[in-house]
Parts: sequence; C-alpha cells; structure tokens
Amino acid sequence: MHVYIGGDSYCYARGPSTWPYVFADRLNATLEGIGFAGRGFWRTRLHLMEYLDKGYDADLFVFCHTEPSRMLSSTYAGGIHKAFDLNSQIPPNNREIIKIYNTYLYDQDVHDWAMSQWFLELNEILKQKPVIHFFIEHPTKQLSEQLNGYKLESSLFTHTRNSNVGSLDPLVENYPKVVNHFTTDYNIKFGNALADYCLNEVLPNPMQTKYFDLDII
Amino acid sequence: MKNNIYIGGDSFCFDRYGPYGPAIGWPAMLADKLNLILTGAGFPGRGFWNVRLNLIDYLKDNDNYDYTDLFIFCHTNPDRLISKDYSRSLIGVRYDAYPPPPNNKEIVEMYDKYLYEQDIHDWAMKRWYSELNTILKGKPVVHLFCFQPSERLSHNLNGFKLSNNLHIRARDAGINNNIDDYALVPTGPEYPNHFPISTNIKIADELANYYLNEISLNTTQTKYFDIDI
Repeated sequence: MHVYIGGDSYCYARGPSTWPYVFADRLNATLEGIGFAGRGFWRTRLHLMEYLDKGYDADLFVFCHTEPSRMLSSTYAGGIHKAFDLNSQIPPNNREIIKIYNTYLYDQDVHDWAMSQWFLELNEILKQKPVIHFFIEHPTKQLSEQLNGYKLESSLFTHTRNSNVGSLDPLVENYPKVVNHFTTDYNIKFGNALADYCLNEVLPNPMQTKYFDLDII
Repeated sequence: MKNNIYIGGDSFCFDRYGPYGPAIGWPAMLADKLNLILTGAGFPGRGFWNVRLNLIDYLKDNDNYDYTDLFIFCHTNPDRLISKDYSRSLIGVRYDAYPPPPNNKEIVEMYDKYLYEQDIHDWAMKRWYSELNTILKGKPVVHLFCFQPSERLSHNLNGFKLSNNLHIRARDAGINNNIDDYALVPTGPEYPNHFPISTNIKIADELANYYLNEISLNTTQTKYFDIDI
C-alpha cells in the first residue's frame, strides 16, 4: 500500500515519531509525497502532477491545505500574514518580494478563487481515489465545501494549540523541538488517531464525502 | 420585451456605442442586428479577472441568465495580470487604469521580473475556461480568441470557437503588416476594437448570420467555426 501525503509545513517532517510516519506505519504503507514549509498550494500541485505523470499511483491521498493567501509561485514563499526567508532568493530577497506583492498586488478574491479551482481540480484528478483533507485555518475550510473526500472538521491550527507547544506563535517557533507544529507526543497521537479513523471509516468506505473529526487522546 | 446579448473581454470588444448613440463597434452592431440589448464590457489591457468579475456580477440577477440569448467572450492573453487594479499587455503597459501609486508600469515590471510564471497563468486561464463551461452550461456561447496564447488553450472550452485569433485578423485588416510586433495592432478612433469600421460591420454581419443559421439551431454544440472578415 502507498500513502501520498502532500501540503505545507504541517506535513514537512516525516521521520520516526512524526504523524505522517506513524500513520503510514500503522497502515503498513509506503509514505510518499512531501510537505513544502511556508509555500502556497502551487508547490503541492506541481509535486502531485509530477508524481502522477511519472506513473506513480497511491492508494490513499492526504492533503494539508495551506492558507489561500500564500503566493502562487514555484519560487517564493509567504502569504499575507508573514514572509519566509529563503536563502536562494537574492536579490531581491523573498521578504522584499512578498512585501511588494502584499502591498500592491494581493487580492484575497483572486487567491480564494485560485484555491477553490485547485480544490475542483483535485476532485477531477483524484475522483477514483480515497482522499483525506486537512485545513490549516478556517478561511481555507470555508472554501472546502466543494471538495470531495473526508474533511477534518477542526483546523490544524486548533490542533497546534491543543498540543501545548508552549509558544505564542506556534506556527514558526520551537523548531526542531516541535515538528509539523505539534509536540512529539501529539504527533504520535495524531498519527494513531488518523490511522484508527482511516482503518475503521475511510478504507471501508473510500469514496464518501463527509466532515469528520479526530479524537486525540 | 427584448432579451440580452452579453459580450465580455478585452480591448477587442471595448468600443460599442458612440457618444451620440449609434453603434461604432461590432458588439453594438451585432446586438442591433439581432434586436438584443447589449450587456457586458470590454476591459482594454486587462486580464481575464475583470471579465470574470463582470460576468459573476451580471449573473447575480437570475433573470440575466434566463434572458440572455447569447454570450460572447473575447479571451485575452493568459500572460496578463490576474488583478482588478493593474493591467499588463503583451508589450508592457499600454493602459493606465488609475491604480494607486506606485504606477502601473513599476508594478508590472516588478511582476514580470520576479513573479511571472507562464505555467501559473496558463493554469489560471484553463481554470477560468473550465469555470465558464460550468457557469454557462446550457447556454449558447461563442468564444473569440484575441491572441495566439489564448487560442492555444481553447480545447478546454465548450461552445462555438472561432478559428484564428483576432490579433492576426486585426493586423491583416489594419494599416500595419509587421506580424512580429504586437504594438502594431491598429488603435485609435478610426479603429474601434482594433479594426477598421468596415471590418467591424463585417464581423457583426458574419456573427449575426452564423448565430441565426447555426447557433440558434444547435445552441449547446462544441465546435470550431470560421467567418469571413
């Protein structure tokens, strides 16, 4: 069995004791895909299209959908909330580009539209596959109505807060002590809870579309 | 009561009725010939986003969907900025839409230099075409392609699609014949929608005939067609 997990920093770390690893291990599956920290959906889309074009075909797909405000770019990272410094971007650096973009060109309607079109494209591309969707924040979730598959009701940001990472800005601080924005303990619990749900609900009914939640104990 | 015709796109459908009433551009001439009320707008130098905003706003009134007999789109170049404020044409900045400072030229140069990616613009245009298929399913739609790049992506569209882009036709109908220079598309009062007045009349005549003889009989077909202009 092959599991593809794609998205942003919420699925970036994949070593032992991370939720992607625990989840794949519990399913006895090979873990594929990648998380692009700080990036918009475009990098995830490029990776998925390349993966499928090369003839790979996972049995289950999981996506951590990032905020729609992030740049549509294969090179630059960042969104309306913050810019990320990438070493490869000089000159001008990533932060300068994002600042100019956010000041003069950012249009939430355009970004929301692009994200909704990406969701529709995912429905078309993966219409024969079981898919689980996570959303980093509620604004992303508001666009999720049109997505097919299993959709996590609670935002990943909520899970970050629940994991008691101990930071006022848990999305960026405490790395590498905190990976995928969860503590190690929460990574393991999250991976196990997702595996339980997948084994009991998703795999027996792979083509359903519904919202669900995970009981992280 | 008259029904509507919606014509939306870029500068190739911008000129409509003159300041004193009579039609000066092919969209108005076509509406008059078909006895329909002309709606929609042309946005010179702009990307598809302004057209999309205009169409979505138009369709907020459900009656507009029901009482529009024909939708026509002049699809611009996918390279243009996906923005409601800034404009970008093939040759840089031709039109100033009075955006806030910094001026349009500086923004577009920055975008072109650091952020422009053809794959993203092509993807957005294809998704816009796909959205159009969904929004206007069941309605007769004619697609005109202003430039070669918008024509290149046309296989994604449903409806009646004009072969050969308008830029080539405008160039051939104008005073300039340099096929490599986009700047030489005729402009000015003598060239509404980049065409001589006589060509505007011809386009309206040909599209009206095609609508009456083909489209109105098979409203939801998908096919390429041609007209002699």
